[in-house]
Formats: sequence, structure tokens, C-alpha cells
Amino acid sequence: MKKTDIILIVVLAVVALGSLGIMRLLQARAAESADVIEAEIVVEGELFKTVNLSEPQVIEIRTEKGYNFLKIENGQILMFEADCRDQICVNTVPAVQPGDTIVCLPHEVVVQIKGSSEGGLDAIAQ
Amino acid sequence: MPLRSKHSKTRTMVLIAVLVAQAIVLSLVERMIPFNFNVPGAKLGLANIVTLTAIYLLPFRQSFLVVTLRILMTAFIVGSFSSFLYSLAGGYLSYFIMALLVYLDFKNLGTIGISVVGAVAHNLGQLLMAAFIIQNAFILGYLPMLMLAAIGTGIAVGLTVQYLLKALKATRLFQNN
Repeated sequence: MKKTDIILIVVLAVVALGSLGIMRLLQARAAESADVIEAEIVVEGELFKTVNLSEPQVIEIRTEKGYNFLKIENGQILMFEADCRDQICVNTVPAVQPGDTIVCLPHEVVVQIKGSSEGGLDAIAQ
Repeated sequence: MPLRSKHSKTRTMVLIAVLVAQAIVLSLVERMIPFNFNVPGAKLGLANIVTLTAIYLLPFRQSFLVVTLRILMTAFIVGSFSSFLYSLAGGYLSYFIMALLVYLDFKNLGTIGISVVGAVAHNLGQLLMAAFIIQNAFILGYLPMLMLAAIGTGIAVGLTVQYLLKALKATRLFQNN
């Protein structure tokens, strides 16, 4: 291994860890200020449903590509079954706080957690 | 590093065929390994061993052919149209960046460095394709996690290529340079 190789690896690792840290920080900050936590479910580029994470339910998504089942329980949303080829979405940890995502690429299903504060604009204006 | 033989055309063709076959087999083997970094989408990238070896052994047009055939044939054997798009984006982006570094004779980087760059480029290509398909750029947020995984797999692949090239040179099938 050459010296430049090591420098390159260290730089890439620092960039990766740094941006990971910044992302976590921003996510934690967004989570703190959010009163309502919702999951936005987008299927094939279009908004399928927005659900509140405090309302337990099972959501079924069926397209010609296949099916995905989502479950909301204990304030978290989980993809518990899908007939996609890679099963990456099913193995993804449950999404809890704003910024968390569950993605099923083969079926183009994206679940994104968003937080909003009840005060909305007014709270910021004060 | 051209082949030293009067029948170099046939030899080159056979070499390309062997490399493509190896890449396809490595892709298939990789699918069977239940390997999980806990990072969605992270892979070992074994086919990259062949891509990088081809870049070192063959001139641009021939190594390009190896990569193109590998992507096409793997898609025909096991893939779907969408998996083909992902390997096209990842495979070509990592190939072009690695090829650029090797053919322009960027001597500061060894096989390991180039392999790591290639692995990161592969992830970037796939994420860009994913962002395009689902029309959502947030998915690029997976890049830092994938980069960390790519550094590990890139080092492993680079080391393999290093040993492989040494062994191939010992066969004296290739001219020394």
C-alpha cells in the first residue's frame, strides 16, 4: 500500500464519518422540535399516504410490481413483509424519528419520517 | 501491457472472454453470500476484482468491453431491468474513474487506493440512479454509510488485485512493463 493510498482512505473515512455525524445532529435537532411525527409514504414517485405514528395500523401497498406491508406500532413504523427481490426494506430497522427512512427500491416505495411542530410558522415568528 | 504473441488477437479475445466469465461467476457467487453490513445496499463488489484487473492488463477499448459484457450478461442471467440500470450506473461510473486513474498513469495511487475510489464511485453511481428512479434526492444520505463499507471492501478487492497481477505477471503471458 502506498502512502497516498493511506491518506486517501483516511480522508474518505473522515468525510464519511463527518457527514454522518452532521446528519445525525441535524436529525436529532429536528426530532426535538417536532410535536407531530408523521410518516410520508411515497409509491412510484407519488404521495400514497401520510400517517401519524401515534395511530397503530397496518398499511397495505399493492402495485403491479408487488406488495409491501407496513405496520405502525409503539410510535414506530416497520416494513414487515414484501415480495421484493432483495428484501432490504424488510431488514431495515423500524423508522422512529424525523429523517428516518425505509426504502424498497425494487417496488419504488419510500417511507420518510417527517416532524412538524404544531405552532407552525407562528412558533418561529415569536 | 499487450500480450506477447504473434496470435495476440486470438489471445486477447480469449482473455476478454475469460475475464467476463470470471466476473459473471463472481457476481453470481456474491449473490449467494448472505453478507450484511447492516447497511442497506452494501455489497462486497467481487466483480470489481475483474474490472480492475482488466484495466491493468488491457488497453481502454478492451477493458471497456469486459465491463460492458459483464454488466449485460449478468443482467440477462439473473437481473431484472431495474437491477440492470443500477449495475450500469454503478459499474460504468466506477470503471471510468478507475480507468482514468490507471490509463493516465496516476502513479501516486496503488491498486488499493484505486480500488477504494472505484468502490465509492460504484455506490455513488447506484445512489444517483436510485435518486433518479424514485425521484427523491434524500437517498443520497445513505452515501456516508455506504462509503464506510466501500472503504473496507475496496481495500479487500485492491489487495486481491495486487496479488492477482503479481501471479499473472509470473505466468509471463504478458510483456513486462
